[in-house]
Amino acid sequence: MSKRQLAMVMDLNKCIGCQTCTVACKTQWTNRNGREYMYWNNVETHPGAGYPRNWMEAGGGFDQDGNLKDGIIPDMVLDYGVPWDYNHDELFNGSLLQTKSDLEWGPNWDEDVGGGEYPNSYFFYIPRICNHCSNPGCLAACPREAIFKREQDGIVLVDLERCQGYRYCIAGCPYKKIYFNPKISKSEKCIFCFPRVEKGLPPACAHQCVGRIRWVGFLDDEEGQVYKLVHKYKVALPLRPDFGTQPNVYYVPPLFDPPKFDDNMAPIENSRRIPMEYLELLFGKEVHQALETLRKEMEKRARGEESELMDILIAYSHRDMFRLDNNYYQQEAAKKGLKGSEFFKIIDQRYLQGANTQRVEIKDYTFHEKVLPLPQKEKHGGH
Amino acid sequence: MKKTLSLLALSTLIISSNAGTDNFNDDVIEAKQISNVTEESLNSIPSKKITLYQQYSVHLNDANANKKVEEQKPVEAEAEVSVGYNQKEIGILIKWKDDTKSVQPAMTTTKFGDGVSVQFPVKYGKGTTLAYIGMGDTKHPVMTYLKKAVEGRDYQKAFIAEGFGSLTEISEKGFSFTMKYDDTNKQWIAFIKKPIKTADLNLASGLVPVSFAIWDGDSLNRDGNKVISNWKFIKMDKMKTDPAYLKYVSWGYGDIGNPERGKELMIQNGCNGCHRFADQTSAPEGLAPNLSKIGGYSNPVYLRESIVNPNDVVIRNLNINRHYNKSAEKDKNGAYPNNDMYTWYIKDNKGNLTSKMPPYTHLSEQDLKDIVAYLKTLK
Repeated sequence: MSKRQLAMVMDLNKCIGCQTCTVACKTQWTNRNGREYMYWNNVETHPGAGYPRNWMEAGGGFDQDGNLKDGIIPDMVLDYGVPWDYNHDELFNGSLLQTKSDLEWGPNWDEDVGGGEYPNSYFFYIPRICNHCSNPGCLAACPREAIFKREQDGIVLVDLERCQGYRYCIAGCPYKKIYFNPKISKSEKCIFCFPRVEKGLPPACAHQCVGRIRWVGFLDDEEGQVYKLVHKYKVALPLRPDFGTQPNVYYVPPLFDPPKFDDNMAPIENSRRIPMEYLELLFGKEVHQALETLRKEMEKRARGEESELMDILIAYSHRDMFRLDNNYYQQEAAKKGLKGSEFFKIIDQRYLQGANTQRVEIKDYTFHEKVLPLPQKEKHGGH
Repeated sequence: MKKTLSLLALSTLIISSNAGTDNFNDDVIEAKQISNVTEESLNSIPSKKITLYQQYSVHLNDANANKKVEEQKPVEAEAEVSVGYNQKEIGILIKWKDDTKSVQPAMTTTKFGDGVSVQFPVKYGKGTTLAYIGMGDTKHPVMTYLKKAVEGRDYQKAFIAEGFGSLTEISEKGFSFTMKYDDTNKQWIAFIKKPIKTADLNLASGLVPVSFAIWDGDSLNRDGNKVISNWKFIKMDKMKTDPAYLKYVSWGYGDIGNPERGKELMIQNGCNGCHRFADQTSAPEGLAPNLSKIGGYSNPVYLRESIVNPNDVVIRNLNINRHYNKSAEKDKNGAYPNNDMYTWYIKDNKGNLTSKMPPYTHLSEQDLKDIVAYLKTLK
């Protein structure tokens, strides 16, 4: 649908779940104006319910024939989770410290829980942003046609003027990476930091990543490391390709996990704790080949031979990891007859209203109890 | 919009035993000339009871809302409408029962507010065919006035539209739309007042088509998920009605044909190849408008026009990206092209739209009447 496509690669072998990306995104975009509950970037533990809770079972995406599937809209309190307050004021009267509301769920509720039985338990992290899909479910679901995919780089954005807050996009996105802002009654989502990208900077989440696990670049830039990881070596795979939206965030699957222990607590040689079925579910059948390539290239390197792939994955230089083809956006601007500072006008006009909304602080997070009573406990079992 | 089961059974009975007893006068709302267009003055004008039916032509993708649509299947919402006007303004008072007041809260993701809208075709009168009821079509733009119950905001908007996805907000001076809940009678009372004549819309005429939609927050209603009426006609008591237009829009009411034969004809003519209706559900979802409830919100003459001259009302289908072509080749970015099979029209290089449905002009007058008689029973 677009002329070019920006993509991100994340190496799950190097993610330590520190949430620096989450914080980078939050402080940049979602700490205000009704976006407080949203995490455009989150890091979740797998196996796990994820964020929002059980998003993989929440529907959306396309069926085998390419038809949009029905989905559900997660609940702000029960599925996303909102911040809570403590009774600090009452501590002086002898009360014990407790939360003001019943804790139901939070964005990282099951962090590090993972799967498997002790001593063979296991987990790994998956950082998630909007996949800026080539066939976006959110875009297809919108009856207002308010969601668009930018011609110049495939970034998927919401036209906040056209959006009427119907929320079909949220049901349509199988990754649940588009969110309803109840304050302005419009949907909002990860914008791939397009104002940064247009200046040659990578998205904040990628730039701040301490583990240097993220690469950003155009999928058709054959000199770029993103292209090499995705197309040349085929070690970076889309998450849940079966959802049918052709996502553009790619993951290097986890290669290393400790071996299993036998009954005598002795490690079983050549065993792995993460079941291959689970990796297949997440990354498709291609995960076998990807892991095989990684293993071979690694052995090559261990023998002292050259391995371009290993050099890329070591992530020596930000300049190579974030190949945003700086001149590209300037050229695009020039085509539209924009010069010098006018360059910034290429920032999509349709998004401006949202980008410039006035900052409003929310002080009280107990709102959900005031507005609606919490539903019965037994109904909390997810969707 | 909660209804009891007894009413449900009753309404089914009426449809099956009295199909064809519909009367054009039931669709006419008498408007009175009054000096001041206020809510109080409209209260003294006799109201007309209108019935609204669940929109079922297009399928939306919210699984929880769709469950409610199926549960809600036979429920009809009733509203009372009074219209008053003077040289400058027109006012419409709409009252409808709703046991549960829903206001869209400022801090949840899953709640929706109650709401109401009033729709007028931009062009009407002699020689103009009726617009598609769902926000108009490419040849018949409509004006839509919307009021929703949203916490902390006065949500009233005026739109112009020519089909799904084309709703565009405009500002209209002198337009106001209020909505308040009457706890005693468990009903909403909405009052719209607007200039009788603007640059976009002139309502100073003897017979003005109008239609209504109501959203129920509890049923997760919003957008196309709503109950809607067919075209009603406001009859302005002091203005002249064009007899030709009256004759045109009043076509097909009453007992015009044999519904059973109409259904057979529809199957014989292959309508079920694209459309779903009643027990005919073999057509792929979304290939063409679902006709299962078409009779609730379509006027007989509109149904007739749609059969003999489908190009007159080319309807934009819901977002064309909802279906992609899995057998086509992906582009260089991995995107499948849209599946044209699901597009309801063909666009030529000048931008003209032609409906994919061919005109069924070979049908005899009686065949047409039988088919329309059948479609009228689908509610």
